[in-house]
Amino acid sequence: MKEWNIQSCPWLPATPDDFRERCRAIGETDDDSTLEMYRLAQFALSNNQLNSLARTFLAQQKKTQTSQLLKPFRLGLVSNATTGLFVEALVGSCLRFGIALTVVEAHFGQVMQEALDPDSPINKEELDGVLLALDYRGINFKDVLSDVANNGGYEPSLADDIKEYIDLLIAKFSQNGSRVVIVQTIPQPTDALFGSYDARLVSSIQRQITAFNSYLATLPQESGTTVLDVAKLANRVGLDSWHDPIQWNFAKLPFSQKLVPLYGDYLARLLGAIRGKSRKCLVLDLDNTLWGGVIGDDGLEGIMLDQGNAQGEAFLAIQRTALNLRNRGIVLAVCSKNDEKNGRLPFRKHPDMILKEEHIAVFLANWHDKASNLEEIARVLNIGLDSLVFLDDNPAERAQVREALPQVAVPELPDDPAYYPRALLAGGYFESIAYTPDDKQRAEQYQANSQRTQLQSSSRNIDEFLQSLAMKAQVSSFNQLGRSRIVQLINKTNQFNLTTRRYTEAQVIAMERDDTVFTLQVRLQDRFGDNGMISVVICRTTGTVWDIDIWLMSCRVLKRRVEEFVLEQLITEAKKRGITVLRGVWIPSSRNDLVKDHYPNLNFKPLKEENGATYWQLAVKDYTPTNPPIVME
Amino acid sequence: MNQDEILTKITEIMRETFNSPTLELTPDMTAKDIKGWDSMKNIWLIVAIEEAFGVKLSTSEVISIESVTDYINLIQQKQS
Repeated sequence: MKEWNIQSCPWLPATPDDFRERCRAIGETDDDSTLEMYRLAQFALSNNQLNSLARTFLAQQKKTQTSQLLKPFRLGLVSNATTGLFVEALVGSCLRFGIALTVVEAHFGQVMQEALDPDSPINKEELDGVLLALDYRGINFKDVLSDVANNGGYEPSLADDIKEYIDLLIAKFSQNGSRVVIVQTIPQPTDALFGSYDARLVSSIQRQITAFNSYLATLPQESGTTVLDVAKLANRVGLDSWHDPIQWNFAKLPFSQKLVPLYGDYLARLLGAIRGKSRKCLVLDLDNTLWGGVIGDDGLEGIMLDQGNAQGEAFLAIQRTALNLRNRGIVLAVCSKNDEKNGRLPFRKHPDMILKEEHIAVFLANWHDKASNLEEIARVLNIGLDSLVFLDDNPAERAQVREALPQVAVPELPDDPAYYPRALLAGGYFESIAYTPDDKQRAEQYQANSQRTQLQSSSRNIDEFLQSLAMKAQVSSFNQLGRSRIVQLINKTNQFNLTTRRYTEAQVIAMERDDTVFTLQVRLQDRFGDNGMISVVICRTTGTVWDIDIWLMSCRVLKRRVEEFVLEQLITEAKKRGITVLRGVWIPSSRNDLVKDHYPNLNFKPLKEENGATYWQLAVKDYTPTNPPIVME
Repeated sequence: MNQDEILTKITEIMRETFNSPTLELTPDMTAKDIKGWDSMKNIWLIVAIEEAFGVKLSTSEVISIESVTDYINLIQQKQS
């Protein structure tokens, strides 16, 4: 068995021999090759291969508009070590997560100057985020022996001047919160001056770095910061492999450059999460993935799933991992070649099963090919194929799915199931930058939705169905309680989103405090459960006009007349405030065709069309109530 | 590996590293003869060579390398 080692990104399939030819072929065509580049990005590319792909992509970008598959991200890179060597490779890694990355580098080694000078590249350029990649060798940690007299037993604390340094950098780079600042945690150095005593000595570099990293963890989310946990990554790799003293001495390279593909993947998945690209659903194969053996052949007593048996324990571990993911809000589904009766049998009858039928939102055990089943799962759950991760022990099935559905993530699995949890989680498919109570309920909400779908098919007509849902809504302006979820919806919602404007947490806070901005958040419950926050509206006031800056809704509550209900609330609030006209705009994106007719459907009158965007207005006095079947609480 | 095999593999690596798909290497070539082979890119090249041949070069070895021949000799010596 080959050792499973994170250094080589073993969850990614090996790069095919024709990689270079495929890159060249992209270079020779003028067609949109985004999907082909996305496919190539899914392999375990080396440094040079990432560079080749990045160059291919940048050349394509100049020639043609790259498609909707990718979202742009402009990243400023600030470091007190050398980063220039691997910037190009990062562009390649980001393609793997659907991000079209542009990097703006700060001047070498001028972290503070870059922050303070308003004309520095980082301050001057339009950026979505800034990565602050600090190396411990450039931080003014206090002298190790300074506190020797009163060491031991104290809580480690970070020196005030270092706190101030970090706070100032974040404040300057975030430009009042309009950009995300990604701060890296700092890996420990390899060496200890005293040995194990470094773990106790208050002023040891080890404890100072620990205090530094803890300080980053406590930075408030409102400051617009996100943490890239490089310290953990370096630990996983092993500090002796992470730090390369030769490379540091030659060029101040902060970590061994053979790890660039791994580092790039870690950064890319975080940028993907910021852009709402994290996946939502884990689809599981059954035989030899969730249990050992084949249920159809081996029967309930024959499959391996028992505690105390090393092989059985391995399958229990992957089930536990899946259940943990579900508990944090990842939807689970099953896709297996089996008779349905056989496939369900262990879930119903096997005493050691950790996963139960109630945890599975969609259960497809049949003899169709797996790609078709995965499409069906995405359809039933009303999510994109790019929200799915597919776990299957069979290399042939994995290859078929990758070929047919490149958007679905399919991790490579090692031969030994003991490594399945590691391989699944190492891929970073479910990377998060925040966690809200709504996230926690997500899996249950998707499941309730499939129950609603069943009720819908048994109802005689749509009105009867909506009435029987007994919907209740709570409406309020933005507040601290709902803020994380509001920011998440603003940055993730693609389909039911009239303008696709994105705002940071700091910008949202500014709006809460701005008297000329009217905000609305809507939560919805029905007889099947709590849908959580499902709609957000922002209006900007000019005289007696409200311009609707953002109107978005979660697609989970489509076709429930929620938008009519929201308009009803807007009109009520507008009247209270002496507003006479609501103006709205639909700005087309690649994903929001769904709401092209949102305003005309609500009886707004057309104003004008400009660059494909359509403008609409509704006089408050012309509004006619439509009585949607939703009760206000 | 004999010298020719090593040369072929190094050619492949240098083509990728210096983004020059038609690069033809001869043993006597030095950094001056190859576009883009500066001290920074040299580190990236060394990483690729170390990975491809499963060797690790020391500081003094990195400094001593001046030509393609130097690479070939070093690799051969380290692999034996």
